[in-house]
Formats: sequence, C-alpha cells, structure tokens
Amino acid sequence: MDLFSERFFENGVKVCGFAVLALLVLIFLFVAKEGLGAFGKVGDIYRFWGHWDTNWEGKKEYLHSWQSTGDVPKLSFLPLISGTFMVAVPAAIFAALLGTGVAIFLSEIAPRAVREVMKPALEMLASIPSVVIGFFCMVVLAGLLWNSVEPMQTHIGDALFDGSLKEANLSLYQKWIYDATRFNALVGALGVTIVILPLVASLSEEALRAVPQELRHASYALGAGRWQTILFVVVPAAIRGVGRSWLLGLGRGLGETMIVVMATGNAAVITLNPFQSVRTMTATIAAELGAVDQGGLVYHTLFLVGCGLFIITFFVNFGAQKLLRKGMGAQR
Amino acid sequence: MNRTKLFAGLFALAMIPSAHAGQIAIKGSDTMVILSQKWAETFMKLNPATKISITGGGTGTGIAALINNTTNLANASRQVAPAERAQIQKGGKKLLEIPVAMDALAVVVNGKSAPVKALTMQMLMGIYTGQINDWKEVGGRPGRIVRYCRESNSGTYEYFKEHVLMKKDYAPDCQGLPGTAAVAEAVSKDGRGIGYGGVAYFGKRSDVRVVPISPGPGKQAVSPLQGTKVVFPLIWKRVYPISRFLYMYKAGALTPEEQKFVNYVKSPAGQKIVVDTEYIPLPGK
Repeated sequence: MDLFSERFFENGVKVCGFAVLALLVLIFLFVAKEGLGAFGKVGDIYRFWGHWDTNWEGKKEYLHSWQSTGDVPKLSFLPLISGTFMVAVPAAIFAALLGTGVAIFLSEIAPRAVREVMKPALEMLASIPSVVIGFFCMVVLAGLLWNSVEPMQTHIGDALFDGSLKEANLSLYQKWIYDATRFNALVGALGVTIVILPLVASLSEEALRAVPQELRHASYALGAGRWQTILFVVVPAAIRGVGRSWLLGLGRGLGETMIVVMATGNAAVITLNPFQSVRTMTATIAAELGAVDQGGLVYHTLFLVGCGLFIITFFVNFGAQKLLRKGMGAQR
Repeated sequence: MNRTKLFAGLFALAMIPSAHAGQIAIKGSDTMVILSQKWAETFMKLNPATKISITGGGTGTGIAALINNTTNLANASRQVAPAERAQIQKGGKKLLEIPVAMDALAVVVNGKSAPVKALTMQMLMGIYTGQINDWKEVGGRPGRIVRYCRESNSGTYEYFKEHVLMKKDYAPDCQGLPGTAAVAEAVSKDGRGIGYGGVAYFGKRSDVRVVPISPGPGKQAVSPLQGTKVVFPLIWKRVYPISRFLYMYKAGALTPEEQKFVNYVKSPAGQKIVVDTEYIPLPGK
C-alpha cells in the first residue's frame, strides 16, 4: 500500500475511536446541561427529596411522592431510585445464579454437541427485542404469578375479616402477599432477568474458559473430584471475570425501560415488597418526556433523572472495569 | 446511476410527512385515537388527494407537539391548560379550539366480582386520592382496592384529576397504564380493581362492569349506559356527572384541507361515525 492509503486508514480508525469517546462525553454534557436547568435557587435541591403535606386527619407529614402534573408538581427522586433498584437488584441476583450455572455447564460439563446448540440458543435469547419480552411479562408472567398469589391474598383477607388473624400478627411474608398487586416489581425483575441472562452467561463462560487447564489438571492430580475442582478451583480462579459479568448485568438491568413500563405498574411507591407495584427512573422518563412542554420544570427534572441514572450506571460499570484490571494483574 | 440516486433521494424526501400540502398530521389523545382513525379513513376515501396520519401518545403529547410545531392538529380529551395556552400564544399563534364529540368517562370494576353496585363522586374521589382503601368502606365486600389509572401524559388522567379529584393528588399506589385498553384488561383480570376511561372502551366488554355514579349525596346514581348502548341525553344534559367534550386543537388558522376535514368531522356523516364508535355526538346533531 502506498503512504497515502496507509495514512488514510490510520487516521480514519483514529477518528472512529475518538468519535466514540466524543459521543459519550457530548451525550453526558447535553443531559447534564438540560438537567441543571431544573435548579433555580440553591435551596431547590430539597424539592427533589420530598415535600410537606397535610393528610386527611389534618396532620402534617413529610412525603416523598412523584406527581409531575398539576399546579404544584411533586418531584421526589426517592421513589424512582427505590423502584429502579427494586427491579434491577433482584434481576441481577437471579441472572447471576442462573447465568453462572449456565456458564459452568457450558464450559466444564457440556459435551461439544450440546454446546453447539446451547450457545446459539443463548445468543438468540439476547436478540429478542425487550418490548416483546415486556409484552410476554405483562400478558403471561404477570398472570401466572398472580394465579399463585391471589388465592393467598384472598385467604389472608378473609381471615383478617372474620377475626381469625389479627393485623398486628401478620408475618412479613403475609404482609407482603396482602399488599400484592398483579403488576409488580417481581414481574418486572423476572423480565429483566431474561434480558440480562445471555450477557451474564456469555461473559462468565469466557472467564471460566480463560482459566488455564493446568489448574484443573493440578487439582485432579491432587485427588480432587470433578465438582470439587469446579467449585473450589476453577470458579474461584475466574471469580474476577464472573463478578464483573454480574456487575455488568446489574448495569444493564438498571437501564431497562420497555419491560418495566409494561410490567411493573408504574406506581411511585417506596417499598421493599417485591409484590408491590414500583416506578423506575427509566419508565418515568419514557412515559412522561413526550408530554412535557420543553423548557419547563418537569422537562428539566426528567433530564436530571436521566443524568442520575447515567451516573449510577457509570459507577456500576466503572466498578466492573476495576475488577477486571485487578484480576489480570493478580492471576499467576 | 447518479440520476437513479437523485430520484431515489427525492422520493425518500417526499415520504417525509406533515409539512406538505395535502398532508395532515394529527397527534394526541389515546381516548380519541380509534375515532380519529375512522374519521381519517372515511375522509381519505372521499378525498384521495389528502393524506391524514393519526398517532396517539396521550393528550399531553399531542398538545406538546402543537407547541413544538411537530403536528398540524392535536386531539385532546381535556381542555388546554392556561400555561399551555400561553406557550402557544408565545409562538405568535392563536389557539383554535374545536369541540368534535363528547365522551362519558366511565368508572369500571371487575365484572365477575363486582365489588360495588354504585358510587358517589365523593367516594370516587376518596378512592383515588387514597383516603378510602378498602371496598367495605364503600359498601362492598372487604378487600383492598387496587387503583388503575393512566399515565400523566393522558388527557383522561388530567380530566379525572381536575373534575373528580378536585385537583388533589392521586394516591401514590395508583398503577399507571399506557392506554384505556390496558386499563380495561387490567380491571377484567383483577377482582378488586377499579379503573376509568372513555366509555367506548368498556361498553361491549362483559368482563368489566361500568359503575353508576351519583353526582351528590341523596341523588340517584346514573350510568352512562343502558345495556351496552350509551344514552346520549344523559351526557348532553350532564346528568351523568363525568361527561366531557373531546376537542381538536390547532395553533393558528386552519388550512383549506384541514377546514374540509373539520367540516366533515362535524357533519352528520362524521357524527354518525362518532355514534358507531360508541362515543357521543355533539348536542343538537
């Protein structure tokens, strides 16, 4: 190749690399700039925490609520952040358990013929559009879960009514079931699990395959059995890569939008009950951004929500990166 | 080769909607989307030169699009708020408000478990603001009330908040669903659910029951339906307490095409489509 072509390709590739970096920075700057428009005075930060209100009995109470329409918008971020984690954390845990199991199966146990079928199937799971999965959750999963929960709820309700059960004596689980709704955080979390699973499984599998064969051979040579080797030698050796895949799964789950909009019920409630309806940051932005007038308080606040989400996801992914870098130095 | 590319590019450009003569873009109310589509279909059959595109997204989205000049007309199931009106005037345009039909905002409960036989406006407000949390407090079998509502971009949501909740906030555990059809689906599957929306979405369904509403203490409860058909005089005379107008809005003057479409909508033929879609025609038609 002549000098011109070489220079052309080299510079072209450099531009691509820097363009990606520039894109990231510019997107963040745009979102941050629009988000900062939500602050007028220094004291405005408290409006995003909560507000005082008088309840039906005339008592004053401090509420964290999100009601963005009306004469006085209530814009507390707390229920949104709570909702986001109520969906993403259980999803990340389920995906970690299932995904690591799949990864161990694929890398240590499965014969090659099975691998050849399962890996493409996993990729295909990843390529299902999340709106389709959200629809599946809304129509099928929510119904299935409700068929198990509702009879229990009716039973508890009847028992409370005829006095055989006192409200103060309910166990935590019973209280959770009594407050349950058909669209809830758990249904959303299950949907997000389906979306995160291929990511966690494939990254964990790579980490497990990267463990050198010598370690396995050494373990067998010392008399360990197959499962002893897998659980106490291979997985600990790969734990940095596997842990990183869990964190990346969490990061992906934090940003999931379509599934939570359709399946979680979108109620801005602060709760630890997975059977209750929650409202995530992503669903709020998706549902409300189309209808606000550009330049108003709620418009800027929604960008601030996006900014907050950006920062949370950034820290999760950053943590994942640090984990990997440490791992590469620490091994061998 | 170059000429083909040029024509392909021009062809693609011609596909961009809404800014064209002969093209009308209408965005907004989910309540009105089916009605609007039927109007557009029949109008386009009579006037093949005009292309009308209808999208939903909620009244809020439609009015925002009107403010941002990304649509020609906006469908709305509530009136424009003063703040929104000011935004449009700021752009130098006068807001044109066109009532095109009426609607009864029906309140529904599950058809099988039917927790209540009727409700008063006061009870309805109490239920949706979180003051009343159990069906036994409003005369039904004991059980927690599960509230279904729309998202904040919905005109139905806003109208309900202003006229039934008297501008109070919704209870935080009201579940926001994307459209009235979703509300109907959810209430049909939830024995303790309550929901609201344009009566057209509920009239023919047997798995939800429309609840008669009484306008005040001591007054008789009124249902917008008799059997499965809506009774128009109840809405025209506001005997059914939650009756509302449906509007089309334009920022500025109507173009000749748009004027033709609006005339069609308000004509007897257009109002007949309103009746067929189970909405209520304008009074006096």
